[in-house]
Amino acid sequence: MEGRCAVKLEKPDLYRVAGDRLELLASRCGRCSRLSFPKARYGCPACGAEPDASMEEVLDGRARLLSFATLHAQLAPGLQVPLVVGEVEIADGIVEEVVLGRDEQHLRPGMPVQARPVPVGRNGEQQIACRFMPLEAVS
Amino acid sequence: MMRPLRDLRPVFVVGVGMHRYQFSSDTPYITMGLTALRAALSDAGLEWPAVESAYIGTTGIGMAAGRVMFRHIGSTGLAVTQVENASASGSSAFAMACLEVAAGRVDVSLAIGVDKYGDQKRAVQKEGIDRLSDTANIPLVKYALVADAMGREYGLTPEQMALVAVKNHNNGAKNPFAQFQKPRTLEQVLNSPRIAGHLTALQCCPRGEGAAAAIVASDDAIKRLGLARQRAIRVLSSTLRSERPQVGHEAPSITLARDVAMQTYDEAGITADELDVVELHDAFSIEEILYTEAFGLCPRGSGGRFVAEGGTAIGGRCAVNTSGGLIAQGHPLGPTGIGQIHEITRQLRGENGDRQQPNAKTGMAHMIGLGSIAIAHVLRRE
Repeated sequence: MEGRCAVKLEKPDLYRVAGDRLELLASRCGRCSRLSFPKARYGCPACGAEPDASMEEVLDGRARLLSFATLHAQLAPGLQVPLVVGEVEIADGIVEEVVLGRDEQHLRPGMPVQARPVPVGRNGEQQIACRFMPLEAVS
Repeated sequence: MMRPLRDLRPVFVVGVGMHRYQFSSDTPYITMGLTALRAALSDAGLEWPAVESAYIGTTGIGMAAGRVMFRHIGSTGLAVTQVENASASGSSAFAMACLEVAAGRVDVSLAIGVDKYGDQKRAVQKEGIDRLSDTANIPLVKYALVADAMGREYGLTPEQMALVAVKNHNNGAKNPFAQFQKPRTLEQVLNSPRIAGHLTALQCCPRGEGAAAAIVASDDAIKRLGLARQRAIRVLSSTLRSERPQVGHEAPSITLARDVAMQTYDEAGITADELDVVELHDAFSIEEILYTEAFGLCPRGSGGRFVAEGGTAIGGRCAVNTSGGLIAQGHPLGPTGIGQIHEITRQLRGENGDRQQPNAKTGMAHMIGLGSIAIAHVLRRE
């Protein structure tokens, strides 16, 4: 447990570790009730309410895979290719681009996927990144 | 209550000019910009002092690009405003010039786009909000994912996407202003390096530099300055909107592109059936298929077949990107939208040589800017 706490999260604003899963950190507007992911930092994207009006809401990290594609060119700094990215629905009506892994094998649209913690090297240290994996592929 | 352009004073494109789009070079931006400007003045039969205001679309040069450039063609004291709207900077400069003439504040205005490949800094990088994927704000990735979904939903094939690039490279091969002027075969496009999903390098627009200029004028100016009325092309509509939150699974930029097209048809008083030529934002081949559907040029889900059957070719139902589009003519950002106006104006005048769409009377220029915004202009020969 101590070892796990010592490892930094790559993007702590977006998720937290819950056992072998990652939970996603969303927010719900107190004025219009709309869910936002990432959390509303400056104001509600739907109604413009002040960020103080929003409450954090934790999503279980389970999602539905909508589409995916393999990136072959290094389109962002530090991006290691080939890399498979996809669009997933993390909550009703909230579609996000996520990282799926290194190959498209075992992926099919509509399948359930789960956010999982994966250690990655960042600036000479190990961090926990978020990767979405097929639900049935993980015991 | 918004008033459409058509309800204001009529505005006409009277002169267009370009400097070829090209890969990054040591050519000064002033050389490129003034080449396009002098060509537009010559095309219009106008002297520079007759131009009362100028809007300069640019993203990578820096502050006050227009004023520095215009020193070298004569400091006439005209009003100069720089416009940055990402890929739609030139289109937005054109919109401003049209609106100023239509509003009656000036009689002759210039829209000029000129750009060098800059540092590409984007405000979204300063938003301070992480995303689950580091490519979440890269349009190429978004469109590769849309292509994947369209393949499954509508049977869109990699070959149909590649045919967009074949058509546009072959159009560019006949365009002296195009960055790419080589005809390409389907095999060459499919076998070029893969970038993302089924999108290959020859299906993606190049980075580059260049310039394009369009001079717009009122009817009064055309008479007073003795310009060629029969070559003047009416600007019927000018429409600009930005993205709303995603609804369902359609990418918001596609919803936006459709909304702007429908609004601009309404403002122009036309239907999609009346369009003879369209220049649109084919930064990636899949976009042309998406937008031909979104603009109502073909039914939803049939964009791949529409290009394969020649519907968007010169001589087809509606010729799309006869310039070569962003894929072949190029996409130097600041000039791109005005390069579209250049192409459509020449088409509607019947002056487009071996890229002429027969009997072209009505055309639309439509751009997407990062963020996203969408902007459209409908032009017509009267």
